[in-house]
Amino acid sequence: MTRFVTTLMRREFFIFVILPFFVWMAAFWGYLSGQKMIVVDAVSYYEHIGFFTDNIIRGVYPLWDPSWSDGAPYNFFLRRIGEANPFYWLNAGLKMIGIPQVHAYLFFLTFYYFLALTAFWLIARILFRNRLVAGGAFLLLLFSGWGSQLFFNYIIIIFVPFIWFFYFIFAFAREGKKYQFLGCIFTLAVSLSTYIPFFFLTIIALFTGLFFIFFFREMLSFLKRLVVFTIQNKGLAVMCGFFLFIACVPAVDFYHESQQGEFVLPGRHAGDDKTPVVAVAMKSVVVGDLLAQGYFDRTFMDHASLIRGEFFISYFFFLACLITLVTPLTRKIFFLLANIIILGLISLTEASPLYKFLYDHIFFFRIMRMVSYFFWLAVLPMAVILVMEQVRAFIRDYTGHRLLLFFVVPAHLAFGAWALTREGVSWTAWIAVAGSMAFFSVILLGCRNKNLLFGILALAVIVQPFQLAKYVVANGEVRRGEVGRYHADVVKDFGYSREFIPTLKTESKDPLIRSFRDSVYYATRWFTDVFTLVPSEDRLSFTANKLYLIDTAVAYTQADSVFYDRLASAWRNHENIVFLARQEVPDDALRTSSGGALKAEPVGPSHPFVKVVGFDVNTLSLKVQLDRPRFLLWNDNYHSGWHVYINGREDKVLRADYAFKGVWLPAGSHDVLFRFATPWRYAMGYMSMIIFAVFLVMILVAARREGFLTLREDL
Amino acid sequence: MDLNRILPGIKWIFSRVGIIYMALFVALACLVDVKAAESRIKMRRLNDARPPMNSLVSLTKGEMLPAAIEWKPYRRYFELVLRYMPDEWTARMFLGICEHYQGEPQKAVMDMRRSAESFLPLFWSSYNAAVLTFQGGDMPKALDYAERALRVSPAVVDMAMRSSVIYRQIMFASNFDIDISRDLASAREDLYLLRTAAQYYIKDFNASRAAALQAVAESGIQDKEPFYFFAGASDIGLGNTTEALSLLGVCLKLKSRNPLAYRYAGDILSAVGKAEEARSLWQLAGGLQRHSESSFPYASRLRLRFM
Repeated sequence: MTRFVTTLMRREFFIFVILPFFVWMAAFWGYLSGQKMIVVDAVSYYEHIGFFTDNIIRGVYPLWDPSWSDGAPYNFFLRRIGEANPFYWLNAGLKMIGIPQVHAYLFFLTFYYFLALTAFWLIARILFRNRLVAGGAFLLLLFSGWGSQLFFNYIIIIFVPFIWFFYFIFAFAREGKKYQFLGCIFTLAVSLSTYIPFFFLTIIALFTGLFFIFFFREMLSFLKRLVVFTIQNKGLAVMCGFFLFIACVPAVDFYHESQQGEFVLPGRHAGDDKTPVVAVAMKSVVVGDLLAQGYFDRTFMDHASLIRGEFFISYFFFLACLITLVTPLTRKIFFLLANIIILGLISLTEASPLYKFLYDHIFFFRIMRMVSYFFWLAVLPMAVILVMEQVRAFIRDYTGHRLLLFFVVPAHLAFGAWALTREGVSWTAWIAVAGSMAFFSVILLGCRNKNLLFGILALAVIVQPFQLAKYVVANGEVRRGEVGRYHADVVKDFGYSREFIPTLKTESKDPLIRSFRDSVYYATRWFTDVFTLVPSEDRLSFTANKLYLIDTAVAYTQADSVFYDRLASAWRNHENIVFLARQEVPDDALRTSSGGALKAEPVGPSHPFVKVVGFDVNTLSLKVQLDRPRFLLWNDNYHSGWHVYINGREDKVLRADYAFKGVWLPAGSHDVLFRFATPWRYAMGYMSMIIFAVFLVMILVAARREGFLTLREDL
Repeated sequence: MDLNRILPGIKWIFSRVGIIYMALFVALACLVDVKAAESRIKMRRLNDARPPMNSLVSLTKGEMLPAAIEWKPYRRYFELVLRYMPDEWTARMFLGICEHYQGEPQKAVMDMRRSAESFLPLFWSSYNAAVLTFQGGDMPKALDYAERALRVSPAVVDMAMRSSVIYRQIMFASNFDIDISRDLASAREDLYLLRTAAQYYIKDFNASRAAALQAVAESGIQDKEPFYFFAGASDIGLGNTTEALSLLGVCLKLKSRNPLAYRYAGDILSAVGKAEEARSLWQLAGGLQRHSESSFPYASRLRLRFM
């Protein structure tokens, strides 16, 4: 193992992976250094990972986010990132040594991309058993538009476990080692711990199904090996089964939670009357399909205007595809093409009959929104493998076939002439075309010098996308200040007053525009109602202060327009009154304390009788001294997962003012503790994190013992 | 034919990757709803290219000058709309406006005329075509477009605008608070003026005088001064100097800034021997003329508009 790693570091891994990766980093340095702004979904994941790791550093397992829409369960975001993934510890570790979140996150992204591409290179090595071709495949993917996805969306979070899973499964099929088996289970578990493992599952299901069709005998032999391995390693198999079960629990818990209807996702669920709330309306899916994204708008034109998220790749890719059309058709090529075509059809949503069928008949297709991600997750990597497989066959079959120069040279000239007719094609495209022509010509002339071939290939594959990446960086937004809305202070300080965030007011009278601008993406059901039905200025004027002491609680039986008007008026005037749902509270909760003032009494940091003595995102601890019973209103959203303890005894948290929460406190001195979720849930979270970390260590230890990769290539 | 020589060749062809690519291409063409895909791509590209419409609203409200607006993205957008929907006449009109302000008057006139001639309910196309042809000196054509625009009832204009996707985009702009009917009324007033002026310039003095007096009698028209001028000027053309003087007198009483009104009145007074009064009017005319940039005294009233 040591010798292998040493050799690898000295030669192959360094030349084929590390060195090109540094070149890639240089191309995207504007983003990687934090000068340019990450955007769209990348910002959300930056916030989620930042929030999670900031809390973990403080020893808090975050299950509630008080800063999201006046308080919302955090499980939805945890399910997005799959918090048990031990690689987030890298982000946390960097922050612990004082590196700011922006740079820690960008470092994490870079490392994660490196990890993904390393797996791709390893897969290519297994499939091709040819360093030149594997290196070429690696370079093609590395220097494609994939890299810019890091700064635009979150798919790298899905891609890493997904691609490592494929590496482990290929390696296991070939060598049957324990660490490879463990790797499969671990990467599967990382994916299952998120709420959208369905990209992963769809690709695997399709791959497996087609593998059965195209490689039946090999599949049987693989299954046989798997059964034998399982029988020989019963303990390990049981442990892996248990691990997978643990990994599924948070996602299952989340689905259960989503059925209860306490949180809603109006932004994505709009127009869909089906449960669960995480379901996505067809019109939302269409927004995320391949056609809607416009990835290919600038592949062959207007290169200087390329932006992050758009597809680009060296023209060598297209030329290689064209030139190698003369190579023999093999099962492997057929198999890859079938995968690409089917996933491509799914990515087209409405324009393809396949997607409509899947949406109607397979439940999880109603949960996946950005189906265009299939392109980056599978179609592009498979297409690169496909083209390089054809290149490999071309080298094998046509080295020294000079006659083919009569096809290769005119084909390149024709492509070049066509590219000339396109507007705004970068000048480096000609290097790619010339490099490609040189590469194939040298092969046809009988050259077998692999170093020369790799040199030409690298030139053809790297130079053009390097320039295109520079354009992407140049067209990116310059970062000014913080990224997104997340600030680390949210997890540290209670903050008696809520930071006033101006609402997106609009002069437009058009209800369509208003609904669009005022839409809620994710919030509790009750908050969404008041957000929509009560004027924002009334709500904000009252909820600007988080805590109030109130003397009168009245009941309402129905949340109708009369009630919302009354609520708005009470908030506007800061009335000394709180509204409780009649059906949810006991009679004695509806009362008035003597000596009540007209206005609700706000609790600030200098309040003489109410002191916040402890706070984290899941808990609020108060010391209270009251001369009479009073209602403590906390303008943070209600959720049935909240518990309150008065002097250590649990009391009922009441849903107050429709969306928020509170509790009646008797006269006298009390310790009041609000806490979200049960201790079991925290234990489960911590346990998952530890188990995942232990599993990763087990893989590394087993890999060290068994030898990481012992394949011998033909080069 | 020697099959033994051909068959291996055919076999070779059918065992190549290229064949499967071709087959897949055909299969995909059959499977994918190409029209739906195409229309989705078009829609997305249009959405991507659409610039914020706030500047156009500011232009209409007089808060921005045309020179301060970056016309390039608007032009690119309207060109794209027309590439996908060549019959989108509203877009063609807006393209004409962009071309005009980008210093391409020939193209602007051509696009505006095409738009006006193809879609009658779009009042603004005819309006702009009338303005551009008037500015270009083609008075009969300007007259024709003005008549065409005036024939469209305000209710139809309002409906045509509200049903136009491009107008709806403008109306959705955050700074949009324009009273369309008021703008339309003022545009119609400008067209009356253009029509009267065009008739005057082609020396159809009778028609010009009638149109001017009709406008003077119209209660909806706010600024009557230009119409008194053209009525008076037409009377001069017809040889009715006494009536001309009285109409120009009303025009001058309305504090006209039109140097020609002073000059013509001066000419008449001079002809009847009131040299002193004539001289003072000529002096006033000279003073106003120095500040006038256009030979047409009401040029500022005739600018391109879309609202």
